[in-house]
Amino acid sequence: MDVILFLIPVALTLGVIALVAFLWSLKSGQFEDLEKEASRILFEEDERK
Amino acid sequence: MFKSDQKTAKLCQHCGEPIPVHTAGNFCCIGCEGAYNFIQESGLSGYYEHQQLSKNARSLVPEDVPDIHWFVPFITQDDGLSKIHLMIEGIHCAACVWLIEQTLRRMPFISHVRLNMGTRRLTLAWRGDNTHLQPYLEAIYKLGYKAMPFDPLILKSEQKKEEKQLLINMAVSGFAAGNLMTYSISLWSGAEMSSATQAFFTWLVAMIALPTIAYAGRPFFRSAYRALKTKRINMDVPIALAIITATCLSIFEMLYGRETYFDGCVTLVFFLSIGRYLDTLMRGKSRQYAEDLLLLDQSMATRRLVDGSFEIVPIKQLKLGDVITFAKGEKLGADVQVLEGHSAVDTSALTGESLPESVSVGSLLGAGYVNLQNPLVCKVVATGEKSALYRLVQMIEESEAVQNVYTRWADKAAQIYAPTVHLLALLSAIFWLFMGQGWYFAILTAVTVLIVTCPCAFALAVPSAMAASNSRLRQQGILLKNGDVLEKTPIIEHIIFDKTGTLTTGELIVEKIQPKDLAIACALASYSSHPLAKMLLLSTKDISVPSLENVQEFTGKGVQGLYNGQVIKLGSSSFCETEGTGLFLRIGSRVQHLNFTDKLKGGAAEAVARLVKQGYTLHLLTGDGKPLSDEMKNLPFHYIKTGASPEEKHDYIKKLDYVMMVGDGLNDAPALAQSDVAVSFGKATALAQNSADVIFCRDDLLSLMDYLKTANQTKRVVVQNFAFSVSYNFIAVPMAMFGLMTPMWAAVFMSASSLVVVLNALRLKRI
Repeated sequence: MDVILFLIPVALTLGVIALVAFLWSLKSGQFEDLEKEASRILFEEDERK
Repeated sequence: MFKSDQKTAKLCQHCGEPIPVHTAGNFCCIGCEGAYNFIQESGLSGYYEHQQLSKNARSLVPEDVPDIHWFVPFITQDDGLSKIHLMIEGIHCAACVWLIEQTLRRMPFISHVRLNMGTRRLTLAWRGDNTHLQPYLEAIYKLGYKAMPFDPLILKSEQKKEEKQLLINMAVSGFAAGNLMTYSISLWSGAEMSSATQAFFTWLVAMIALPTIAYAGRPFFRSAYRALKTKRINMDVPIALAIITATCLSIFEMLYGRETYFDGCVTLVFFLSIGRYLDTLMRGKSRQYAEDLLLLDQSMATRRLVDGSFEIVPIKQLKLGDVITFAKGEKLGADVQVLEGHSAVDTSALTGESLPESVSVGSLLGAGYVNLQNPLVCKVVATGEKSALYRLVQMIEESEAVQNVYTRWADKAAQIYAPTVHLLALLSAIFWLFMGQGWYFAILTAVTVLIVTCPCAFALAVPSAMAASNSRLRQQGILLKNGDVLEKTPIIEHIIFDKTGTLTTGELIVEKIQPKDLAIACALASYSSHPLAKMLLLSTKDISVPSLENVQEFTGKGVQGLYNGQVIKLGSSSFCETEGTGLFLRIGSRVQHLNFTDKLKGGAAEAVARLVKQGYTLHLLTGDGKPLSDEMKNLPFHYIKTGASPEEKHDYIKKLDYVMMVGDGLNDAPALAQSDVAVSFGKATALAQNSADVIFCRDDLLSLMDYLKTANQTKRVVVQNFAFSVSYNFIAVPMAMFGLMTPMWAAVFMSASSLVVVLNALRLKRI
């Protein structure tokens, strides 16, 4: 049962990594325009140039 | 309530910042002293009493007014008044709004001052020219605020920042809530564990919960603090109190090794953040529409110069009469009239209509239209602030700023609500103590009551419905000029219609005539200056006209000519040697009467029929004395009155109750003002539009059906929401008071109730 003393910090760390990743994506503006992102997939290939 | 604290460093009496050590007097700088004196002299010292300055507020230190030349291009002339829109920086509470408005209102030549606290936009109108702006700007700066000509881009980022922060709060509290739930299971599962293990988990939970609550709870704490500073209670006070109490209670219990409620607190904050985020999103959507329209100003147009060359200029610099090209895919930045070419345009920005409209020479296009087909050359007829688009945005803003009856109820209710809630919580605590359940249970129950009685549902009931229906109405091309009107509409019983321009297109066309004959008539008409001839030509566009010989005009009688050897005449009945009144065409031995009729607008007949079916009493009030056309006579009106003067129309309406008037002409304005709900069209005269409460951008009477439907549904949703919030409280509060609920469930119910109200309101967007 002592292994839990190891597992909990690991779980927390993984969780924090996920949170940080989310916050990063938020700060880099990926949540700005939710509608545009949905239709981005429909844009032509050339656009990406 | 001056912020001077005698014990510690002396604080400036104006801005509240500490006074630098070697500065004598009560102010930190000359600017603050100046502002203070200015405020005192103007008799506005009430400002200091009403302030809600929190420690983090920026100090209101006055700065210098920037060069007036920045502002001059933004001044417009409207009805003899000069007008400008400014963005004010430095506002953090209603006291600031009050101060600025009061100060400006007392200045000379001022006609109109309005500062919208939400958007921080100041609308200023004065009698006089541009030079008057300088003292007004100086006044604003002297008070310590900054003003900039309105730039919609700044506004967008404020809104976005707030949304972003709320999203972060949601993410953080959601993350914490989820993890805490997992760890708390071990504590709640009732498993056998040593006190050391229990302590470990409890401390672990606390370590995650406390920073989260401190971080994600900030919006609520800030809002509650601000309200309490002015000795008022808003809906965030019970929430903040509940969060803090529950947290402190848990800390206390933790130190004694007993059960804690950290997971409940964090989950509470999480759900609250969701509610707040959705609320902000919804407000943001309607504002976004207005801002998107305004962003047009920032792009470019191609102007054709006198010598035929082209130059690219910012839309802001376009002037009346400028000739511009309107290319395919381009979006118009000003109102124009087409000079050359024909194409199809997308009018959805202004009318919400997604079907393209075909346009040709002479057509009027509004700012915001997108050209779908062929390039056009157009002449500018209205720019910037004068364009229909801009006026539309202003109307949206105005209608949002005005509170309607529904919101006023909700506000009043919220005022008594908060103190009642605290009282109930206290009572429950005392009751359970009395019953011998101990401190712990008593406080827990009180906390549960505080949490579950969140008036969010109640407070959201109306605004969410109004925002949703406003948005839908805009998509349908319907504008509300004030918020009251949506509430008044469901009680309407009588609908009064004007005829020309409202039910009919206002354009006279000739009916029952062969195209060849019509062409000949037009050929003759082009030689005449008689009004009837002009009318004939106006109503027939793009008609190829045969060439005639020996054309002669007989003033007052008609026009005569030769066509293929036959004598043709266009004129009065006697001129054409026939009988009757009106315009006649004689081709050889054949006589044709030219019948002008005012065609009914699209959807008019259908709308009228449906309105009758829905039980409205319909009246036709027209200023036109002529007998009605057959089409008109077939419409199922209950009462008809022709030849009515504006005063007669006005008096007619006065005698009725619960009246809606639909009109468009100059002669309808007094009548519109008299009715309970006044409807006009986007293409109507400015005066009619000013007197109207509702404006249909689409020239289609079926918009009336859409509007009535939306108004009725909005009322239904608001009532549903109120009913739901009330019954929710009546069920949940007793449950909490009798200890049948844990704080965590309280959090869930409370947030769920807000969500239910918002989702119900969102239904209005679809139907």
